Amino acid sequence: MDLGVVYAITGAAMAISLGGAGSAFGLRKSGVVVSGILRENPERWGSLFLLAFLPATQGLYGFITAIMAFISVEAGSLTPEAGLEILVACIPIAITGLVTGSLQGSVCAAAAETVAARPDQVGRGVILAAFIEFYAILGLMISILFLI
Amino acid sequence: MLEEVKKVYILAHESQKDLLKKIQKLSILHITEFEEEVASEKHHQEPGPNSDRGPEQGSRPRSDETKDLSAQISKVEETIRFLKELVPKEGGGMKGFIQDFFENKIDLNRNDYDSLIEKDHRVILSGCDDKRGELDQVREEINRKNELMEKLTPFMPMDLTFEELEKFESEKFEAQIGFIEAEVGEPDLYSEILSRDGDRKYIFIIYPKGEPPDGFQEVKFNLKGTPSQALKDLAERREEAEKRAEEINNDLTSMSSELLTLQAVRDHLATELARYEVGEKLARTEKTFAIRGWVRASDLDKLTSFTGPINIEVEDSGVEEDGDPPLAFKNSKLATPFELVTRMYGPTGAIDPTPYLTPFFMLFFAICVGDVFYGILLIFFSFLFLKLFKMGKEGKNLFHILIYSSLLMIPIGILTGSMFGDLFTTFENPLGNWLNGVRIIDPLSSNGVLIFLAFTIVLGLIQVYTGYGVKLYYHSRRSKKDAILDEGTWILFMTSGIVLLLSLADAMMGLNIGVNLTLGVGFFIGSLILLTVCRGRNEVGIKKLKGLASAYDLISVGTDVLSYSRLFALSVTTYILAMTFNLLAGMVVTGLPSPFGYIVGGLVFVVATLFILFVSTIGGFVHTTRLQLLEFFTKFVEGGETFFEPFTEEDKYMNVIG
Repeated sequence: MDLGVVYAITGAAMAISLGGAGSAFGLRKSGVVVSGILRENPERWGSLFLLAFLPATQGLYGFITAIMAFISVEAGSLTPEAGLEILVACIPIAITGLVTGSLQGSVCAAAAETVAARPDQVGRGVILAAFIEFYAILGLMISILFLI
Repeated sequence: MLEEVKKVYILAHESQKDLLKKIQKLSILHITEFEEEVASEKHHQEPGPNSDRGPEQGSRPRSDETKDLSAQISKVEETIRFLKELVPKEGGGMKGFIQDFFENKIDLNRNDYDSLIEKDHRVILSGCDDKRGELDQVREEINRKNELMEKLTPFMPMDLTFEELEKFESEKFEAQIGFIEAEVGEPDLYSEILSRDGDRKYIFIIYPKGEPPDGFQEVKFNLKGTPSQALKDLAERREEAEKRAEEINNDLTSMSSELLTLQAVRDHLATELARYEVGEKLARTEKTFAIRGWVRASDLDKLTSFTGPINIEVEDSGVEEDGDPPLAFKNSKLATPFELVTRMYGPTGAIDPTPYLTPFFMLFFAICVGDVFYGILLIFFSFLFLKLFKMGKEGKNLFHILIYSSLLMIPIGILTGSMFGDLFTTFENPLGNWLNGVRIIDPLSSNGVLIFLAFTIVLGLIQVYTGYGVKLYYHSRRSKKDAILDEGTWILFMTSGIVLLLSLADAMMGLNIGVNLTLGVGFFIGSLILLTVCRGRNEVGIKKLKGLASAYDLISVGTDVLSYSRLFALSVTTYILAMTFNLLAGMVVTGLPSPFGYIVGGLVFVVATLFILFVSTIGGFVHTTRLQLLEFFTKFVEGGETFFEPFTEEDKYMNVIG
């Protein structure tokens, strides 16, 4: 296997696994709190679902980047430089996905606790969580720009 | 837009006991705290002492009654939750699951509602409580029996009865049953192993009185007969208890028919409590009480006509002149659902931003999803959900937002060549050929990416300009001169910043835009001087330069505008997701023998499409909302005041008609 291909696959693996890990950490944090609230207030599911789900997107962004990296590999054999470019292109979403996924989970968990007491605050809670996600979106955007 | 609201004072005699109740039912009056000085000024009445009148008169609440109402509501709520668990969900399965996302109110006509709340709910509650208490006891009994049976089972092989075991005791020896850990050797005494269980040996043992062997743990039972007889007896009694628990459960399930009554009672009690709480806001004398509030100008006639002989004084205070009127939204049919977004921000002060955000929201959300067929599917599902599921006003607004915005997804999808992503553009077909011909942006070509990114930034710029434009317009209604000197110069300065950037790009990167660097710098410096002079016109000394400091805000405008790049990222994400799953579905189709390949590939495609639609819709909605609240509203919304919330009947469970 070409060294370039090895680099590219490493980049794809980083994007999907770190992005996915970020989401998993985040979903754990939000999921644990939401489950606790649902035990007492099952009728809040409608408003809490979104908060529990939000940290899932980083994994998805990592997945998209990994697929784009694979498509680049499929396009033909890669020189080490070209492979390294793909590896570097995957780094923004890999790191931002890992960090923001976990941190977004913390915000979602705190927002879920607020919503448990004040159900009318769900919109603001979601907006707060979206602040953090913006940086994962920026990471994704740069990764895509590098890969295209 | 904001509708004009009128401030009203209603003065009534205490004999008009049900006035507050009528106002609550009418649901058009926003009641506010009645300051004592206002009361004395307006009505020349001193607020009287607390009285013990009921909520009909809007009297000051007797705290015990308020507490009692709150406690009753909690109790009813708790029982509703319990009974709901016993009732299968309406529709069950997927429909029940989806219904959980929405408020589910029951439509009921006024007569049926009245007959439900007339029932004595205390009888239902105590009946339910008794049954639940009994059920708990029976369940506890079953648990105790289970534990005892588990403890007794290892001793079943023993032929002796418990009575005989008790009699076995002599002056020198005693006989016991119990267990020793497996690793402890068998004691050097008379013992019989009855059974083994994991690390334990259950034994019958005779040992010198008061000297149990090391490691022996005695087990005591207060039973009769042999262990197997006792076990049989326990099993029979447990079966009886289980039957009883089932009977009680059936009784409780049949009581769930009272769920509707309890839900109506809960709303009724909460309505009553709200009346007590509003009573705190009223001013009163011994014989009269006064209500202060706001009514929409269009509803004023309704209020004056229904109250009849009651003294109503209307103060002529419009939105502009009065500092504290609540915000009563009145928007077009298209913009009304978007009040949902505005309400997330909170009270917006003297401007209702809803009509201004509506076209931007529709466009931005459409860009985030940006696919012809996803748009069509969203419209279809939104109509379907509106038809199939009961939901409150917010739910209906949400789906109307989705429908309106999805209409724009169709042209945007065509311009970016997205129909289920790249499904039609990757192979030769008439639709794909047409799409390739009309698309103006290919989101995955390096040129297309830059054009798309620049397009979203320009959209951001347009929205930011609109925000400042709205601010200028509202300011000009108070003072044209100040509006031009404040917002006008700022808009000019912002424009000079853009021209400067373009001229720099032209000079340094050779983009050949045609903007001269000298012109750019000159325009920028000129605008900066103008801004400084205008902003500092009312200041003295060094403060005259505060306009210069405000130029720094240009950086914050720049970051705001860059924030709109998320529209590009989300749109491309949807496209690539669709492309990826199209690829996977295609691999399944070609990889599996026909017709399985088509069936499984089709399934992959359908599930993936629903997933992408869901994820893109959530992402698009959340980020578009954020752009409105943070990047757009901050340009002209000052915040403050309160929303117009008419004093109305509580309707958590019931939608009472009539």
